[in-house]
Amino acid sequence: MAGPPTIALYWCAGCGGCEESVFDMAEQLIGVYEKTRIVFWPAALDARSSDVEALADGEIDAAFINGAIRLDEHVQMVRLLRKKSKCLIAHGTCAHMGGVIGLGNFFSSKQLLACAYQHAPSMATPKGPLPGQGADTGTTRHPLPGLLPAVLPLDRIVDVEAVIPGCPPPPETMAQVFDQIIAGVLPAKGTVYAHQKALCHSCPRRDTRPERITVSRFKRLQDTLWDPTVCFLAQDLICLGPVTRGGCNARCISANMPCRGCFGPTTAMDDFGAGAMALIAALMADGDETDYEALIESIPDPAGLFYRYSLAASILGKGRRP
Amino acid sequence: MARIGVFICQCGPMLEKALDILTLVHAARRLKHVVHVETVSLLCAPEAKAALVETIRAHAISHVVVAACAPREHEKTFGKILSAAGLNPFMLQIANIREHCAWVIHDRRQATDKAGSLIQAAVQRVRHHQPLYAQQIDVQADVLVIGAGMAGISAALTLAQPDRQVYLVERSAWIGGKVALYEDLCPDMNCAACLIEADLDTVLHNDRINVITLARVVALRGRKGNFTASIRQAPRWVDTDRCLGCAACMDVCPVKTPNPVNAFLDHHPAIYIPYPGTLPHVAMVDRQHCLRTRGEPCTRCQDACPFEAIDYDQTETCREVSVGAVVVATGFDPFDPNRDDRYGHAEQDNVITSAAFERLVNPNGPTQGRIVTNDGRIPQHVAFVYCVGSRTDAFNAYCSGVCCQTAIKHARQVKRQLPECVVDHIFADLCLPGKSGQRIFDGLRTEPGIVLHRMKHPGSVRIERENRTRIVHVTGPDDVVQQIQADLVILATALEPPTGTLQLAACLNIDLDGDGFFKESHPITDPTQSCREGIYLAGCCQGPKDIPMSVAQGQAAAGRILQSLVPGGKMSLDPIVARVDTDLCSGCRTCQGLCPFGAITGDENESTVYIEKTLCRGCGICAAACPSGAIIINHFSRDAVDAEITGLLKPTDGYNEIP
Amino acid sequence: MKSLDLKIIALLCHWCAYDSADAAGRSRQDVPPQIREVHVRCSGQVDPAMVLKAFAAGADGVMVLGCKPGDCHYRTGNHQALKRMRLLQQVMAATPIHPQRLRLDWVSAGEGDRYARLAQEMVSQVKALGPVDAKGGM
Repeated sequence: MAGPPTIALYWCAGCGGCEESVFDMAEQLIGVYEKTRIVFWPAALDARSSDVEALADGEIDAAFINGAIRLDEHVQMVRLLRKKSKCLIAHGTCAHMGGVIGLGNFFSSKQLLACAYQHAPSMATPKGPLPGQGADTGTTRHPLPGLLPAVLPLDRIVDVEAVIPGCPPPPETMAQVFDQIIAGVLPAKGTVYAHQKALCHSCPRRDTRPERITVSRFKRLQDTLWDPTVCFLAQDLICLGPVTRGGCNARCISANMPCRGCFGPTTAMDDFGAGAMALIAALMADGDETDYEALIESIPDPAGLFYRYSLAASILGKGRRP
Repeated sequence: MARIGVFICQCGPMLEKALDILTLVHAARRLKHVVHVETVSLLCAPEAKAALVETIRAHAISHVVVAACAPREHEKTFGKILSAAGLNPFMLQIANIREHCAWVIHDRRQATDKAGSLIQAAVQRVRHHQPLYAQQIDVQADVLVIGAGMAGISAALTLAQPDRQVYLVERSAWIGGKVALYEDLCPDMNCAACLIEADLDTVLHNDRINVITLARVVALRGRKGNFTASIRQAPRWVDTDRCLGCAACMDVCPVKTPNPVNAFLDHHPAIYIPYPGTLPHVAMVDRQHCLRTRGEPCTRCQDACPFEAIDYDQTETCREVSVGAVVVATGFDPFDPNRDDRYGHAEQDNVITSAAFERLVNPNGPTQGRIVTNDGRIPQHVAFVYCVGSRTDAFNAYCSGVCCQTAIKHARQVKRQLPECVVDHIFADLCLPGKSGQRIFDGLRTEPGIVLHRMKHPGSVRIERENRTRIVHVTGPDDVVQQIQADLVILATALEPPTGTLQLAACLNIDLDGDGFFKESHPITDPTQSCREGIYLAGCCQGPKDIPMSVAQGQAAAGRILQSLVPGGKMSLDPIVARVDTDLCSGCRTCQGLCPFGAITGDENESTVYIEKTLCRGCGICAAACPSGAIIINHFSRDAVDAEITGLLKPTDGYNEIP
Repeated sequence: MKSLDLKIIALLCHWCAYDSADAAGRSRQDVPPQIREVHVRCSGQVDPAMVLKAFAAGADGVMVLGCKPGDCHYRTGNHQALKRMRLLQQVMAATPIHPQRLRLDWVSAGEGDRYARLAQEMVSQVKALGPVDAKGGM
């Protein structure tokens, strides 16, 4: 490409953590700013969507899109960015798999709105209207974007060239990707910035995992003082490292917390929750039906735990009909 | 690019009635990658098979779907056809439109709908099949037999053929097991020693049978055709090549300890020959009771031995043997009546077990074969109590099957030696199967001095002592309690799995049944094999049985081995096994502990797992457990099964885009 | 949607369950046409992904049949199946796929009548729940 690469960053339904992952590049960010032309970044710049529309098709070399697709406005924006970009990068777990936002898919959009706008204890108007398009703000009518029937990952709406997983992605990975783009190399189609293998392969506690682990009751973190040097699973604590792709430098493990799966499953398992269920069932100690019932009871909200980051991308997670 | 041929069998006239074959043909023709569809009247007929080979070649078919009867019927037949046509026999998928369709759905349209789905599913699945080849591996023809009782010896003798070694491991110091301790055997009161001595001698002197006494198997790795067994042998402190069994050592040993071989009715010195006539006829040191073990420098036996056969420096040895099969023939242990105080069991005080009675009546036993009470009196009254520890939920719910006939044998021995003695039989029911049991009993009950008493249930007795007499309180079926006086009471005890069974089962990785006996592969069709291929069961360790059955089972197990492990021969390995994608395997080892056959280990660098093909049975447990999806089962991959499921659920009308 | 249009995938283990379906055929039992049999090596080969994909592909019910406890040809496969399916059912409770649409049961090779009965029970069970709105998923 001639001249500095053109970059865009956009956030859909997210928490801002992926923006943080860029800012956390710290001093290196200055280099990025100097060596690229950032044309659109709602978190940091005053550019508008009309500025994007004014660009030529394909003028953006790489667009980083984070957050899950939750609103119809997100669909419009990502389609626009797709048109104007050579390369789309799904930035962070929400764009990759729907993320925590995707847990909303356990409910219909109507249920979600009713919960927030009618049943919340702080609501003064429990019978008040649900927000929808055309809500009156007082002086002008500003149509609010509508909630889609379900949260979707980015690649259900547009083609995506690359994925940077993580909730949030490691700043080192962000730096690596920016450096690559600045050097003139766009990610090849299908690139995922993660290890092929699950986290166990690179886990600092790897050697403490015994050949066979059998669990009669899973413990919750608040129930126990655990050994900071020993494999979590060997201490009856659920760690989803065996299911999750590595590449995060085992940062949670190093902070003495078990893995919760934000990097997603390996390429051979297209449903993270299914992989988690396979793992947990394999760890269950032998017994009879009552033992298994009690064992399963010791995991509060297994569906939420196993699909914490990936519900929107799961086998059954294609979104409800309206 | 797959070229799929679909062959729909009409099973003669049968399937046409139940299914609209024409519709099936039309639907199959529209499936992607299908290049040829044909109906055949009877696909298994010789002419049809030959024609099929030609058709496959003529249309350059690469994958074959056969819609016909159950795979178990003709999968091999069709596999051979594929081979004859130059295709790998695994490039085949069978749609079961007969047993699963025509025969169970009685509405023609519904049956046709389902048949169409099954064919569509088979077409989708067959595209995922890969050629597979059965690996040939060398086999070891040698055999390990654990236990040198009647079953083990029968197996060893049958197996001792040219080019084959048998390792006969026995944990006691002698061979012949329990039967070597008996005097007479049912039904004809043959002398036990006479019957078995020839065989025991053959075992000891046959070059092909390696007898290893005072030994246990401590580890077993591998699979049928290729096992490695670790055998640990305890030191005897006697050189068996030098010892002639002259017993000079026994005379000088200062130790006297109760003799378990004679049911603790007498004592033996710390160095001893278990019983007169023991084979191998050499001494052994009971190191638990020897003074040297307590630190005393006693050398009396060594000094007395004329042949320099005593060697205190012998230590435990461990050796490994390579064998192709294992026969487990570890026998039984009698029920211990001390577990229930109603029996007032005291070997030294005239309530004895049937095992103790065998020693009493044996001329090489503690009383030289005289039936006497513990204080040397000749009994006037002898009582037999049956079902001790058998047929009761408190101990063993099963019937041990041989104790009734044994008690009757013992009664005959009593009557033979002491014709005036009154013999009471206290039983709940009588178990007298076989050709002679009933006859012998009928003969016995006509003799004078035989009294029969029926107890209400097994265990409806209480044995107490009154001075030198034993009183057996028997509750009859009418709840009336009788007192029977006896000078000597003999308890017909149950047959139980021997001590150490749990450990051996864990060591060999085979299952036990609910009663603790080794579990057979199938109680009806495969009673001589354990749940693991290549490990066979013979004798009472698989379940209580009499001597002829133990002998038969030992020979049967040997027969199985002779037939399947031919010296210099090869074994074919089923290619439907699991394999690991090492690019994906993280080494998390979730699979490792789940493999029922021990086929999974960590690799040298411990960074992935390794599946030993020769041990894998292709069950799929590991593949389903792998959180990375890194394990694939040949012929049953995730993609293949998913494709079949999708094929079953998609509508079968019209043209189908297969994703 | 007519009950005849319901589709139930029956995952049958190679040793007992598939044989029992054959036995049902040989003795001409009534097996409801909604049942669609799939051959797997062992009930222990069935993993949660396989079941979920079946529902996503349009199954209204999934029945997993294996050898009876203690009879598994691979010793522990049916045990593993029990653990996995119970866990999966707990997770399914949070989804629109009712846990009773998944059934795990045991059958012996010769029990053709039991196979037919299990199949009929499964169809009734699924009929009572109606068709799945799986494509409307979560």
